[in-house]
Amino acid sequence: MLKPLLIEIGVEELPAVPLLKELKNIEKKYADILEKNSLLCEFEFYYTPRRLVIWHSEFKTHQEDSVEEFFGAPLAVAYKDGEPTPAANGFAKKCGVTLDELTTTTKGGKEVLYYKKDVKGQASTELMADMLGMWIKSLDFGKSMRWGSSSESFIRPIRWINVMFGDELVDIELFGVKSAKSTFVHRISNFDAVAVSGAKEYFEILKEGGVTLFAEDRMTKILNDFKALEEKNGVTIEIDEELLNEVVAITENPTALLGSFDEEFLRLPPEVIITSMKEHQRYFPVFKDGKLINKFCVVSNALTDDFSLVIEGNEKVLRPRLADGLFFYDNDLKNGLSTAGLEKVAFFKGLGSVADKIKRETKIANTLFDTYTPHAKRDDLNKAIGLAKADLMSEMVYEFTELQGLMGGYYAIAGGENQEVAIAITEQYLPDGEDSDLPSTQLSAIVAMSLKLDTLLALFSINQIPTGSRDPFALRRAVNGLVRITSEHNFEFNVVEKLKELALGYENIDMQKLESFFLERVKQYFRGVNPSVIEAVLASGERELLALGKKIQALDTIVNSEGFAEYSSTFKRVANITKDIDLSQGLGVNETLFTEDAEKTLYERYNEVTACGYESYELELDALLGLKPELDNFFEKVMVNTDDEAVKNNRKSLVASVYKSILKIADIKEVSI
Amino acid sequence: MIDLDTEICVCNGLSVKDIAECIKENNFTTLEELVENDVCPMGDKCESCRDDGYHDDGNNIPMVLSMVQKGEI
Repeated sequence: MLKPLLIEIGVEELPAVPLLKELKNIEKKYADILEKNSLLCEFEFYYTPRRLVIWHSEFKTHQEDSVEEFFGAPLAVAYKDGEPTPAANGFAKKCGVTLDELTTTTKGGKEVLYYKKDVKGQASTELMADMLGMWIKSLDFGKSMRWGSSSESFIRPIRWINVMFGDELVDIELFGVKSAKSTFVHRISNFDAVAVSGAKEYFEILKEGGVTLFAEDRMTKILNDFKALEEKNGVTIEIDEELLNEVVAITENPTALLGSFDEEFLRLPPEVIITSMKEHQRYFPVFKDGKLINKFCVVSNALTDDFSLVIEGNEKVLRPRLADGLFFYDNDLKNGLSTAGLEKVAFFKGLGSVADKIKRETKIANTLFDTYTPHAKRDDLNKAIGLAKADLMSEMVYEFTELQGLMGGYYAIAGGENQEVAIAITEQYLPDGEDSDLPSTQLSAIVAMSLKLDTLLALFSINQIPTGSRDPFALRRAVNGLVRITSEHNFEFNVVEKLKELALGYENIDMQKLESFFLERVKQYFRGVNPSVIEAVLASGERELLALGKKIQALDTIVNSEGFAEYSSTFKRVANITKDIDLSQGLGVNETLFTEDAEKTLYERYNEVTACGYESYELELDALLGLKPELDNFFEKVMVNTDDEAVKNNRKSLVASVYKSILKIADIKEVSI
Repeated sequence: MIDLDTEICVCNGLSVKDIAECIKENNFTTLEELVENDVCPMGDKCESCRDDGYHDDGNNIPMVLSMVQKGEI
C-alpha cells in the first residue's frame, strides 16, 4: 500500500555556505538510506534556511519480505573428526542460530555451511526513526554544534520535526525533539507553531504563511525583482551566481531592494566597495553605463509592504564598513607602498620571511626575463617583483586579505609607478582558479611565474610535497597556473632543464619527485585527451611544455580520426621489431644490402617523407603514418630475421629509422584506442 | 615476526602471506574494504578472524593490514 509521506526537519537558521556545499549530498544520502532499507522510491527534497523537507507523493507502508543467505566455511574446515570447529560455531553465532539449524550447499565446487533466513518486511513507520536519525547524522556541514543538555550535534539546533504519513503523525523522537503535526511559517507571519492536518495541506500552509518552499521559485522571484529594479532605475545589477545561490539559501520570502550610500565612498577602488558589500553584507553591486554607482541591491527576507525601514537599516550597516575602507585607503595612500617590515613577516617555517621570498623570486624572474626577453624593461620587472608583496603591509589588505595584489596595483599607480609595473603587481596571483583570467602582459606573466616557481621550489626543498588529498599550499594550482601561463604567452618551458636551472638556488630538492609532480599536473591540464596519447608523447622524451602541447594535440587529432586502428597495428609491429635496437645511436641503412623491392620502396618513400619540412607536428605525423602501405608491403614480402646477419640488421635498421622518426613526436605503441 | 604461512582466515584458507598479497594487489586500506571485497573473500564466514583470531590468539586480519601498511610484510 502507498501513502504520501512528508518529512520536515525544522532548524534554526542554517548558514548558507555549508548548506550549499552539502546540498548535492543531502538527497543522495537519503536515497542511500532508503535503498539500504529496501524502501527506495521517488522523492523531492526542498530547503529553506529554517527547514529541510522530504516529500514522497507515494511511499510504501511496508518493506517487501526478503530472503537473506549466509554462506559459511567449507565442511572440511567447519568439522574436524566430526566435531564442529570455531569456523562452524562462529558462523552459527553470526547467523544467530544453533549448529543444528545450519544446512549445507555447494559453492565454488565445495560443500559449505549454509543458512537461509526469511526476513519479514517491517512497517515503514517502525523504521522511520532510525532512518531519519541516520540521515540527519550522515549530513556533513563541516562544523556542528550542541544545544540544550543534549549530547547530539547538528549544524544548528533542531527545533521541530514533522513526519506525516498520509494524515497520520509518525511518532518519533530525534535530537530530543518529538515529532508533532505542526510546522512553523515565516516569523513575521506567525511566531507560533501552526497545526498541519495532513501531508498534502502542508504546502498550502507554508504558502499562506509567507514561505516560498521551492528554491527555484525563490530564485525566480529574486531575478524578476532585479529586472524590475533595473528597468525602473535604469541601472544594471551585477549577478554573481554564487552570491545569488547564497541569498536563495538564506531567505524564505525574498524581495530585492535598492539602497544607496554616500557618493564620497566612490573614491575607493570599485573592488573594495564590491568586496565590502558582497562578502560582508551579501549585497549585489549596481552599475550605470558600466560604472559602479553609489547604490546596492539587497535581498530582504521580510514579509511587509513597506520596505523603507529595511532599506534604511541596510544603508546604516553598509556606511561604517565603507567608512572603514576609506580610512584604510587614505592611510595607505599617505604611507605609500613600502616593503619595510616584510622581513618580519614569516613566509613559511624554514623558508625565511616574505622579504627572503622576494629575493628568491627576483632571481627567478631575471632568469626568466633572460630566457623570454619580453617587450618590457628589466627595471620594471625588478620594481614589480620588489613591490609585489608590499601591499601585505597595508591596512586595507590586513582587513580585506582577498584584495592582495589588487591593492598593490592601485598603490603602485598612486606612488608614481608606471602602468606596466602596476599591472604586474595586480596580476601576480593569477590564475587563482580553474576559470580565472591569466596575467595579461609578458611582464606580469613573468612575475606570476616567479611567484609560483619560488613557492613550488621552496616547499619542495623542505619536503612539503603534496600528498593524495593534501595540498595545503596549493602547489597543484601553482603548477596548473604555470602551464596555462606558458601556453598563453608562448613561453618555452622545458620541465626538466628549466626546473634544474632554477633549482640551483635551492637545497635538497628531489628533482625526480618535482618533475613527476609537474608532469602529473601537465597530464591533468590535458584532461579530456585520451590519456594514452599523453603517455605516448611523454614517452618520446619531450619535456618542453609548448611542444608537448602541440604534439599531444597533433597525435590526439590523428588518433581520433577514422581508420587509426588500422595504422595502430602496423606501427605497433614496427615498435616491436625494433625494441632491442638502441635508437639513441645512428641507424645506418646500407642500400647495397637491399635484396627485395619492398625494402627499396620503403626506404625511398621514407627518405622522401623525412626530407620534407612540415609546418606542424600533425602534418609530419600524418606523413610518417602515411608510410603504412610501404610498411605493410615490407612486412608481407620481406623476411626480417634472415640468416644473413648483415641483411637482418640492415632491415631492422630501416624499420627502426621509421620508428625513430615517429618517436620524435610520440611513442605510437603507447596509444590505446 | 609472525610466520607468513600462519592461517588467518581459516574458512577461506588464507594465510598471512595470501592476505598481504591481496591487500597490496588491490590497494586495500581499511578492514571494511577487505572483508567486503569480492576478489579474495575473507573474514566473511565465521568472522572470528576479524577480531579475536580463529585460534583466539589475536592473529587477525587488522593485524595483517597494519603490518602491510607499516611495510613489515
